Amino acid sequence: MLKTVDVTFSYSKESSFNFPDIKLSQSQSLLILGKSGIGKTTLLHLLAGILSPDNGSIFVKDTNITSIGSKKLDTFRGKHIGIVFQNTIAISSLTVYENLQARLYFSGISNQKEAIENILEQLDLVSVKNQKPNTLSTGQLQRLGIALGVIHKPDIILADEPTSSLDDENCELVIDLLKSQAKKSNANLIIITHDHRIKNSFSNTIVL
Amino acid sequence: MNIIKLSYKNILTKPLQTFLTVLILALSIGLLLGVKQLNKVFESQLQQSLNGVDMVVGAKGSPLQLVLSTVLHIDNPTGNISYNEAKKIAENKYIEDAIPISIGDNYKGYKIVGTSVGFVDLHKTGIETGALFNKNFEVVIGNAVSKNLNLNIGDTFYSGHGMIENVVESHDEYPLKVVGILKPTQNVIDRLILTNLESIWDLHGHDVESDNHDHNHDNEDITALLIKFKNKRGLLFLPRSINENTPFQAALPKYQLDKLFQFTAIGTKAITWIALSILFVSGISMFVSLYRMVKERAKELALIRTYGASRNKLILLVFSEGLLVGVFSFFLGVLLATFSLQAIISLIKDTYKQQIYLLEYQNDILELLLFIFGIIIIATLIAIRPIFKMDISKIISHES
Repeated sequence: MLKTVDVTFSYSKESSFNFPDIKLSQSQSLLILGKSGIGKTTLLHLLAGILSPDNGSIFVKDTNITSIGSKKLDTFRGKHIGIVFQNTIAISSLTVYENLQARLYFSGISNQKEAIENILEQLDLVSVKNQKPNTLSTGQLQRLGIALGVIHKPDIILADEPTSSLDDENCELVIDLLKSQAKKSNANLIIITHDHRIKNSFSNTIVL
Repeated sequence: MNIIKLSYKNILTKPLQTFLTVLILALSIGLLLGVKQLNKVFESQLQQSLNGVDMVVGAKGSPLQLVLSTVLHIDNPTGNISYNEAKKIAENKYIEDAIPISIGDNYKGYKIVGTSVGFVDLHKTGIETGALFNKNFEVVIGNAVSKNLNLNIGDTFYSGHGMIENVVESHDEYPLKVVGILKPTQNVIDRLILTNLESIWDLHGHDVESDNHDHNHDNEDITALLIKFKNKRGLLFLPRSINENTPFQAALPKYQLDKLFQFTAIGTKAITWIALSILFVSGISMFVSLYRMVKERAKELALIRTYGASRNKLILLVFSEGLLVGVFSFFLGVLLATFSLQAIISLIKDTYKQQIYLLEYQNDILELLLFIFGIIIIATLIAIRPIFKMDISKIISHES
């Protein structure tokens, strides 16, 4: 469940954004299309609670994340929101397995073993689970990014340009993976991209 | 996974820098602890060996040398004095006890002291096995002498002339017989061989007096009188009176040792300052290491924030990295100090035949540990400043 009302944000007087309202019911997905510089990543960060809007409200699962304290927001974000970055960010000193452990640890989720083994299986990362992120291939790294974004079964999965650097075949694969992971945890999947190839995979689209 | 484990993994990724920080931190901790302990042991050892000796009367010369040779037994005596003359001094009403000693012989490096049985009481010890010397050429040996030379009651040996081992000249006409072994102390008496004055005189007078043991000892010399005051007021004028009115010299052991400590304190202070400078540098090294971690891993720290970690968790992460390095260095430093001290002590034992025991240094360790904690906290506090200014959104969207 996600709802935004009259959200505006400005970095300075010259670059301010008014975002259209979004309303998603449970497990509905959304594609947000737009050229670069139009505030796509800003919107994603607002939805993730990394940035706070100048005006307006953002409701995630009936919680207005713009009005809770920063410490509560940290906890809330860790539990309910998952972010898949354009280029995967992972902790370089940890292995794939340990990265997933750390992700769950910081989200305050114990009982990790089963969750980690499941996600490694689903994303075909079992063979590299003891490798450090910098030894992974691009595809493996991308899948690790997805794993880190979804392993804690968030209510909202936010993906920032997940396909822009992929060829057609892998592009489709990644979208399928994201969709199936979102379905598994009944999450809202929101993809922000300028990549028109995936337009047809989504019925619900907003163009910025 | 937890904060400590993550810190540990982070540290493992920069072995060289960590090695450097640990090395200099451990070195400075080891130095500080070692110097402090050595100084304490040194002072307490010497102070203890003074026992009840308030004043020493001996031949003129360096007062420090007189104290060192007759009280601590670590130097050559200043000369001899006439026993008859010295006895007159002992009659002073302020003097409780005046114990004559005559030194100059050794057995395998252990000094033989001709004295009275009062010497044993003065050193606050007593017989462990056997009895005190009663007749000529009977000796009572210190505990360390018994252990180190494996000498027991009934054993006999020949003394050698001089203060050091392996002299050619030996008094091989008169065997000395062990009749008693003293209880262990941590004092110099542990490594002394005691006999009566007559034995010493006979050992040295035998070629003049030939076989006659019953000659009188009226004109014999001793090395010094160890004096214990009845009343500390004796300290005020007796030394001066002796120095001015007799051919002897009076030296106050406490005063002489305090003067000695002033000399050694300069060295100790210098080493302590060097150690503190190294500690300061290692504090900077730790700060640099933590600051670089915060700067270079800004993206990972921002990522952890998106995982739900609060700002305090990140601070804790930095702190725990400093703490791991600090605590590890600390233990290494304590080990370093302990091993070095043991080595020094066994060296002293071999060279000076003196058993030395380390004093308790838990308090010093605790004090230093708190100090190190302080350094880690300060290094962390400066290093975490970027975390407060961290703009997660900006860091994350700067895709590398």
